[in-house]
Amino acid sequence: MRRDASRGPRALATLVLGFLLAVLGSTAFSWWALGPLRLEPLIVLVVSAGYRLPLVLGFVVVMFLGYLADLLSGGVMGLNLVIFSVIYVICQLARRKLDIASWPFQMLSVGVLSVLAHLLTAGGVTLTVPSYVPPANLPLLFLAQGLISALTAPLFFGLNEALVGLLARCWPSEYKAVP
Amino acid sequence: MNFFRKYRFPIIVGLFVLGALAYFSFSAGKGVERIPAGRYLLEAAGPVQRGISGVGQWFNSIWRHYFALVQAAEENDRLRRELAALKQRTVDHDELELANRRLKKLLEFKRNLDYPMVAAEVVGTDPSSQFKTVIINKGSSDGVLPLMPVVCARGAVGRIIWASPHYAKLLLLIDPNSGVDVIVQRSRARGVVEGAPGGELRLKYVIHTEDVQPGDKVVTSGAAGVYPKGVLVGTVSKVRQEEDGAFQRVEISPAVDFGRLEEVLVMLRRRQLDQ
Repeated sequence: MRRDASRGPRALATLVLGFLLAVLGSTAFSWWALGPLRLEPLIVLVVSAGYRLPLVLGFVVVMFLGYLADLLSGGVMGLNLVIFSVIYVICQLARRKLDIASWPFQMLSVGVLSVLAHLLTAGGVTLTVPSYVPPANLPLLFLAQGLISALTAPLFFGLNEALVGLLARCWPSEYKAVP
Repeated sequence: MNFFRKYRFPIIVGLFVLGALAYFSFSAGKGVERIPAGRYLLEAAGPVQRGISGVGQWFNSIWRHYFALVQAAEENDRLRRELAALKQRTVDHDELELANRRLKKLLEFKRNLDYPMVAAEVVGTDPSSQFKTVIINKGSSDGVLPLMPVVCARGAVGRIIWASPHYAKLLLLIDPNSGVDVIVQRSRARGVVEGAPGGELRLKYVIHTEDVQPGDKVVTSGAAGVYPKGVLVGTVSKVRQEEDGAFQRVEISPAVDFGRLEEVLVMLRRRQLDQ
């Protein structure tokens, strides 16, 4: 089995971009929020890692992103860690049959998995706060959030790929080994 | 070896997912981050957040003060601050009057509110729509520690859930994980305020026989040991008597506009129950 020589640049690009987008998510992206709807670039990076990084390295990257998301969001540590892991495993399973090279499939994957992430978050909150009563419009909110994530997915996929390409130049011997 | 090769995927997936679940179940309910790596990450993220917030505020300031009505914006800011301060003073005054009626010593009451505080700026907000936390630019080196209460001129804001040397994470009152022991100022009815969807607050565990009316002010009771007594939390906006069940359904409009939170005061006060 030949190893993908771009895994190093890709993992580093995902980490760097994840850090920047997580910080932007807590500042600039929240200023441009449409009510409760936000941009969710980290989901895109998790999906990208799930489809394009090897299992163990991808898990390490996704764990970092989940921990970072937990640090900057919410009162319960570990929730994003679990959710990102679940999304990552789903993508690892899906990559056996599918590929996310085309932007419509990128949008579809991210949209569906964003809705799943929100459902898991609501489930996590219900577990940790038994008295929590979800609002009636929650399903609609999740669908709208999924739609926004889907629509913006190609942009963040593109950014990630551009950074992978840029970093790959620092790994000339390995990267050029890929035919 | 063959076994590992054959079942490599489920073994690795199981290890990582179980690890994540174990960390989640370990953290749930504690509300305090104990892994040192998190502090370093927050220390790294904080300056970037601060820089972006600074640039955003600079653009915002230009927009408001040069392109919009210059004098009106300044006047509006000043009046808002004065109004907020006056509102808190009115609440303080009401609280003092009621305390006097119950033959409480004024000096003792004032001492209850007299804590050293440290001012902090909000440098980052929660990127998730389901949680309500913010990052502030003061941390353990400024004396800010987990469980310390945070207020602003309008009233109670939340509590610190963990701190790195120069930054801290603040759980807002409107987060579903938040809970504050409170009393209705007029009737002294007691309950617990929790975050509700849509940025509102919900007053729970108020039994049917208690007198709670829309417009009543709700203040901290000081009972749970985090907040001192008498800090304004909000105003009762809706009261509904449930057909079944022992409690009333009370909704509260927060005193603080959490969408415009910029500066806060951390009360350097350790939780009384821990001491």
